[in-house]
Amino acid sequence: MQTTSSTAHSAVVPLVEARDVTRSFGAVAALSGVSLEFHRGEVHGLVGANGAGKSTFLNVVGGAIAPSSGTLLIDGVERTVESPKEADELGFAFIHQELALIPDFSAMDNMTIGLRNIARLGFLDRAEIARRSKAVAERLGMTFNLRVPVRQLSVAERGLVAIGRALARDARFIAMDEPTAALSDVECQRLFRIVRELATEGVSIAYVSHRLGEIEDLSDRVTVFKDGRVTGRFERGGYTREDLIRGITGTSENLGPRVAAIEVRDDAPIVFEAEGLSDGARVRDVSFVVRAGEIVGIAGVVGAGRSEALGVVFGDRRPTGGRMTLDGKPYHVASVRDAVRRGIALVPEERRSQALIMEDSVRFNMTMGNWSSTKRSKASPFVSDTRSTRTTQAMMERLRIKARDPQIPVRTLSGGNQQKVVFGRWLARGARVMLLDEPTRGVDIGARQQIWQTVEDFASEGNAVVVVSSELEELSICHRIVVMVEGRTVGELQGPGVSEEAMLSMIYNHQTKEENA
Amino acid sequence: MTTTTAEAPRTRTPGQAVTLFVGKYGALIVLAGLVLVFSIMAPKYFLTWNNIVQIFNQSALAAIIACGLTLVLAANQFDLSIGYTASLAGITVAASLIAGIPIPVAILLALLVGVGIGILNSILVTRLGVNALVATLGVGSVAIGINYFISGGAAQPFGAYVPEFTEISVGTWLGIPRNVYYMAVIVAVLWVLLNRTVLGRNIQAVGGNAEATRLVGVNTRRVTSAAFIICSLLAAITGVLLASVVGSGQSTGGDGYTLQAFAAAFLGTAVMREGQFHILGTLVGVVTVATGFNGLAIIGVPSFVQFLFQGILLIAAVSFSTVARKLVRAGA
Repeated sequence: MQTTSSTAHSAVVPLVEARDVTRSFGAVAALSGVSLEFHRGEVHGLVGANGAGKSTFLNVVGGAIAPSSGTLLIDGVERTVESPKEADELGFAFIHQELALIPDFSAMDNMTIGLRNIARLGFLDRAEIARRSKAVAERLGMTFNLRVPVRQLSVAERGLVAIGRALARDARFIAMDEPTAALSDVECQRLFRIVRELATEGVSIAYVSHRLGEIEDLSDRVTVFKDGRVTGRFERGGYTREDLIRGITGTSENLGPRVAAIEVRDDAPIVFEAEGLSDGARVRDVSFVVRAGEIVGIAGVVGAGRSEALGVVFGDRRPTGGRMTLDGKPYHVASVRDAVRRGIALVPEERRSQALIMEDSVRFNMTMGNWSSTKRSKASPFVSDTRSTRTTQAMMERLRIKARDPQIPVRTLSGGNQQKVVFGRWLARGARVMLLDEPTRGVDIGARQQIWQTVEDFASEGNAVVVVSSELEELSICHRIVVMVEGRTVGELQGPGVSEEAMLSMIYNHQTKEENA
Repeated sequence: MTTTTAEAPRTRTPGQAVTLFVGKYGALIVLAGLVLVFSIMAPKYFLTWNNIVQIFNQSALAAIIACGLTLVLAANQFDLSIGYTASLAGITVAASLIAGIPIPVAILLALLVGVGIGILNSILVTRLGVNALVATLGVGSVAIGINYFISGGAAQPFGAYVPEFTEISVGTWLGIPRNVYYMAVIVAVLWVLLNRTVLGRNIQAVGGNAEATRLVGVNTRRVTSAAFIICSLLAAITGVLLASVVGSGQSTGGDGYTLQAFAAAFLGTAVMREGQFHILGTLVGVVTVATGFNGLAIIGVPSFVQFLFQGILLIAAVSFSTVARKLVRAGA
C-alpha cells in the first residue's frame, strides 16, 4: 500500500486507473500492458476493431474477468474488483448491448431491483420505489409509462431504463458498450444529450462505439485499442478521423495475394448470387456473388448483420426483399431443411450450442441429420452403424481428426477437432455451398491451418464458400472480401488491394459517408 | 505471467470412482441386491420359476407405458398425461363393448383416443410452444373429464357380456402369461425404433441438442410430435390391456402408471449409460421396482413401505447418476 500516498482525494486523482493490465486466455493475450484513466465528469471514448480488447478491458474493471497481471486503482487506492457485485458496490454500472433487463418487470422495478432501502421487513415499499424511479425518469426525460412491462417498450426506451438503473444506484462510473447500435437518429441525439449531462454532473463515462462520429462528438478523451494494446491516446480537439483509423488499423501488412490460393477466373460460373437481400431487421441490402471455386469473405464489425445474412441464405430467417439464385436457378427456401436439400451447409458460430451434441459420439455427430444415407437400401427402414462408422472413419482420416475412435464423446475432443467433425458432417453430405460463421474461433493454430486447407480443397472442387470472420488472418484465405456496414454490403476488396488497413478504412469511412449524407 | 495450462488431474479419488460406478450401473446393482436379499429372506418363495414369471407379469403393463414415455423423455420432453390416457382408453374400450360394439372396433376406438391425445399434446408443445409439463398436465385433466363424462365415475364391467375380451390378456402360452409376450414384442419394437431407425436417431438428436438438430435440416417439430403420439398410443394400449386384465373399465385404473413410468424411466438412466433415457434401461427400471414390490409383499411388509421403497430407490438412483454425470463432464 505504499504506492498510494495521501493524495487520495485531490481533483487530479482519476476515479479509475488501470496500470499495465494484462489478460491472457491460454496462449492468447487479450490485453497486454493496458494503462488507462477514467476521470470524474469526463466521457472517455474507447474504439477498436472486433476483438481489439475494449470489452475485455471493461470486464476487468467490472470484476467479470480477473487480470493476469497489472493493478487497478479506484479513487487512487490500489485494490481488486473481485466480482460484478463488488463493482456494483463501488458505484460502477455496465450497460451492454444485450441489455440485462427482466422483460416482464416494469421500468420501475427494473430500475430499482436489487437496491437497498426499498423494502421494509422484507416487504417492498412501493411508494419508495415509485419516488426513486420518478426522480430518475425526470432526470432522463422518460415520458413513457413506467409501470408497463419493459418488453412492451421500444429498444430506445429499454436503453433508457438500463441507464436509469445505473442512475438509481447513484453510479459514479457508467460503461456503455455500443449503446447506439439499435437506435434511430433522434433517439441517438437524446442519448448523447443524456451522456453529456451525466458527465456535467460528475459521472465518469466509458463509451464504446464503432461509430467514430459519435466518439468524436462526445469524448473528452479517446483511447484506441488494437490487438489488446493501446495504439492511440487523444484529447478533445487534438486529433483527426485519420488518426483514429490509423490507430484502429495499425500499420498493417498486405494480406494478399496468397501463395496457396487457387486462381478463380472471372468467367467461372456463378454458383450463388444474392441481390438486394433484406429480412426486415438486421439485413437491409446485401448483394454478393460467389463463383465456382471461390471463397468469399464477409467482413464487418459486430452487429453489422453478417451472421443474419447467412441465416437468410440458410433458410433460417425469412427474406422480405431481394432475390437469390443457386447455379443459375431461382433459390427460394422456406426452411433450413429446404436449404440443406438444395446443398447449402452452415457451420454455425456457436459450436457447442448450435452444431454439436457434446455428450454424443463423434460418429453420432458426424451422421446426425443424415441417417438415411446409412440405410443398406432405400426401402430399408433401418440405419446401419457399420456404415456410419465407415463414413466417420474415412472423414476422420481425410480431415485428420484426432480421436481415439468414432465412438468416444465429441466433448472429449479439442475445439479444432470438434470443428472438423462439423465440417466432416457436411462434406459427407456432398454440400454445394458452405456458409462458415467464424469457423476457427477457439481453434488452435495447427488445426486452423488444416481447416483452412479443407475449405480450400472444397472450393477447388468447383464449390462455393462464404466465410464470415472477424479475424483478418482468416479472411486472407478468401479470393474476395465483401464489406458489410449496418446491414448493407458497401464494397468489395480483391487481389493486391486486400489489406487490413483497406478493409477497416472501408468499414469506418463508409460510416463517415452515411453520417454526412 | 504464469503459464497455467496444465491438464486437470486425471486420477480419481476412490469416492469418485465408486460414484461413477454406481451412477452407471446403479439400477443393476440395486436389482442384484434385491434378488440377493429376498432370496436369503424368503428362500422358498422368492427365487422360484413361478415367482419370476409373476414378477415379469407384474412388470408387463408398466413396461409398455414406461417405454413409450421413454421416447418422449429421450426427445427431452415430458408427458404427464400418460396415466389418464390409459384410464380413458380403458373406459373407452369397456363402454364400447357394453354398447355392443365388436371387440376389434372397440380396441381401435380406444387406440384412436390415444393417438388423438398424442396429437393434441404435440400441437400444444411443438406448434404453440407451450411448456410440455403444463400442456400434458392440462390435456391429462381434459382426459379425466371425458373419462367421467363417459363413465360417470363408475366402473364399466363388460365381463358378463364379452368374456372373450378378457382372454386377450388372461391366459398363458407355454406357461407364460400373454401380457409378458406383449411386453416383449412391444419393448423389442421400441428398442429397434429408437436405436435402429432414422426417426429414433432423430429423437435422440433432438433430445441432445434441438437447435443443432434443426440446423442440420431435421424437422424437429415432426420428430417431437412423433414421440408424443407414439407415447400416447402405448398408454392407450396399456389401458386396453388393463381393462382386459381387470374385466372392467376403471375410471382411475391407469392413473397410477404416470408415477410408476417416470420412476422406471429415470431409474433406467442409471443403467449402463450415463444419464440417458433408453429402452432397456427403462425395462430394467420397471423390473427392479416390480421385484422390490414383489419381494416386500412376500416377506410380509405393509404396502406403504412399497411406496417408500419406490421413492427412495428413485431418488437414490437418480442422485447417483446425476453426480456421476457431473464427474464425467468435469473430466474426472
